Amino acid sequence: MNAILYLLPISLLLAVISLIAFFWTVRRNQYQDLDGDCLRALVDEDLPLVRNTVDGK
Amino acid sequence: MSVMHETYSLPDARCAGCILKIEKALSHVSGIRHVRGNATQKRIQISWEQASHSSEKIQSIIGGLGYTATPIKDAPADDDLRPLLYRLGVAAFCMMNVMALSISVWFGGIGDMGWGTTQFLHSLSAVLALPVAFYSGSVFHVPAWEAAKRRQMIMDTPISIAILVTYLASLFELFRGAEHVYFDAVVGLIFFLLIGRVLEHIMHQRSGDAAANLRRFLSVDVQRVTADGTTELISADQLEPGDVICVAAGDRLSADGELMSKSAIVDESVLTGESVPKTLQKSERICAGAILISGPVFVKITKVGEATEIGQMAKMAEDVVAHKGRLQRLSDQFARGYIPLVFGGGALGFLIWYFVIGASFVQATLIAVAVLIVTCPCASGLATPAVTSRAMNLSMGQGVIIKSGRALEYLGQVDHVFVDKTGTASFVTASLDADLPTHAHRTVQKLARASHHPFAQALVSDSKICPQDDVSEIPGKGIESANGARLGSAEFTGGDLNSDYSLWFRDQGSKAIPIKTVERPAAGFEVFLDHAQRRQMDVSLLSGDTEKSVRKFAQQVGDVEFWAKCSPMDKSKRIRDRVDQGERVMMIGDGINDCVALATADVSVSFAAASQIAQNSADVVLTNRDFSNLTKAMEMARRARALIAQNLGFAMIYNVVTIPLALVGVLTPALAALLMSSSSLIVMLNALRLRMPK
Repeated sequence: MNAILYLLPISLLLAVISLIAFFWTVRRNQYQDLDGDCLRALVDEDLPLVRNTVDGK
Repeated sequence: MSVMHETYSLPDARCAGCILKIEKALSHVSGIRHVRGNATQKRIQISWEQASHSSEKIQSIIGGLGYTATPIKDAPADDDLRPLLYRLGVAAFCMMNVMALSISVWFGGIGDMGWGTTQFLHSLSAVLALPVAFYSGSVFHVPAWEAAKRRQMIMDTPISIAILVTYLASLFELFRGAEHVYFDAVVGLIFFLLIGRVLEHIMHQRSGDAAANLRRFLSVDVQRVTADGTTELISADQLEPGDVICVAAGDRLSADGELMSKSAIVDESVLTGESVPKTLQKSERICAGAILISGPVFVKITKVGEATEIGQMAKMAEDVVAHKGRLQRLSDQFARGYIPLVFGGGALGFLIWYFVIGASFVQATLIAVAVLIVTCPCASGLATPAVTSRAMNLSMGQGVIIKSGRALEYLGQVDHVFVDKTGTASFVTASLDADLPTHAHRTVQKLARASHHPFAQALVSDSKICPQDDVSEIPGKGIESANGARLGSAEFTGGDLNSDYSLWFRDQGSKAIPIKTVERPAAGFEVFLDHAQRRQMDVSLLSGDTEKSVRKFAQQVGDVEFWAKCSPMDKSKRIRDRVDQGERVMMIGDGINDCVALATADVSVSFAAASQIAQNSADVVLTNRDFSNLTKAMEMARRARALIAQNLGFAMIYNVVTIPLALVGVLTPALAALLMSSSSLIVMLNALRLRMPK
């Protein structure tokens, strides 16, 4: 039973990594244009993703 | 090398594919640094080298692809969603983990989980619940605190208190080594509520986006007089001090200026609140936002600045969502007195359980908390706005701008429709006699340009001609220039009263000449009449035209009731008669002579191409003259009313059922949280059921 004492915190720590990943996606505005991003996957060309600096986003 | 940035709205783009197509095409153009489209907002952000292109050139490139691009100034900041998303992320993560731990404890309680293990799992839950209660919970704590500073209680107050009390009580129980803790209630409550908040925010954002995108349809174009005496149509944003513009009667001034014509009558109620029109003389100042009652006049621009149009647009979007119908208003009044009742109920529960029934302090507190949570009137508070906001988005997508929630409410209840004939129900074409002398031709054109009347507008073949100023237009009769030339009805010009002609011209010192006009039903009008019949709505035509021509048109569209030779006051009177009989009346019109009628009706409809004074008085504005869009909007408004009733009914039932359950002690805080948040979510999801009819 002692195993659970350190296993649970470790697994929580690993899970926190996924939370950080979520924060990263929010920060990079990946939820702004869900419709367009769906279609972008079908487009062959890769336009460079330049962050728009005007509105500071 | 300097780089220009601009954001354009693309209202014509039907799908994400269109936006990507434009993006791809633009990225190949040299001199364009960066292109990024946003299919959700229907916008595109472009950066280009100032030396290679201008904004107009970019717009024409996009125009070449078949889409209109309108620059958006003041693009509203939409990163408000991100803080909410962060908090939701934390709440979601912690909730899932705390639930996992909770379920373990619950099963362990049935089996043989030792005290030590239980305590360990509880402690982990406590640690996980901490950021949720305070970071994610700040969404409720901050507004509740702000309100408390003003000695007020808002809907967030009971939630905030419930969160804090439950968390602290659970901590207390944990330190005491007790068997039950309630961290799952805290995180569950916050998680579900935050989902609701995020959905609400996205909806709100969408309606703001839609409103901003449609800006160009609400007439921010002005007629500027060029050096060679002709006029050109430009966007109000491009005005500079020193420009001379021609403002038609019924239009609003988009910048400050100095009056160049002899005199003008203006309505400055937007600025001063006075509805009594003011008369201004030459070289007096006219302020931006004022509406011309007489016109057209020439104005020299002195100052350009924040256009009031933008403020109007933003306000419009907010107003719709903020409106509450009659039922909702009652419900809100109830909610205001409700919050003290909520606390009272919680306190009552506590007192009964602690003193009367003899439960432990913590148990009694938790029952009180369950009552607090479950009685929150969030569902009834959301019932109407959720539907109204969705309805507004849907109708905007069809090109129907509904300006207020009340308009939406009435739109679904119409009993009687009055429609102006000329230019509204009918589409007018007019042609001048070819063998009219040139100078007379020119006089007619200048007079016609000076009037907003559909007959006159149909006559104008050269839109660059400078309109005649110093005219007096008598709504319902005609327009007269300073030297006696008249354009208008047979009566007004001295033409043959018994003939078939509706429009006549009389030059000074000449005889009146008839002008051939042809009227056809407007697009979608017959569909509209059909729908009105099916819904048992009466339709009447109102017109200032002769009895003969109105009868002809009425019979053409299907034997509709009509009133001919109506002055603007007559039109308004017909409407008032119906309103006084208790019927819900709709008026559809577009001219200055419809304004009083538009204001008298319960819900009024106008077009984006109409004079601004008509647009101002109207509750609903159609971006193109197609009645089938209006028909769809009316059907949708009916469905919206049904959904609002459903929502309010559901909210009421929910409260009636759950409050006794909480008082009796059947609901744990976790269950209470689940019930309460799901009620809000159900209300919101129900609103999403609203669809535009085919």
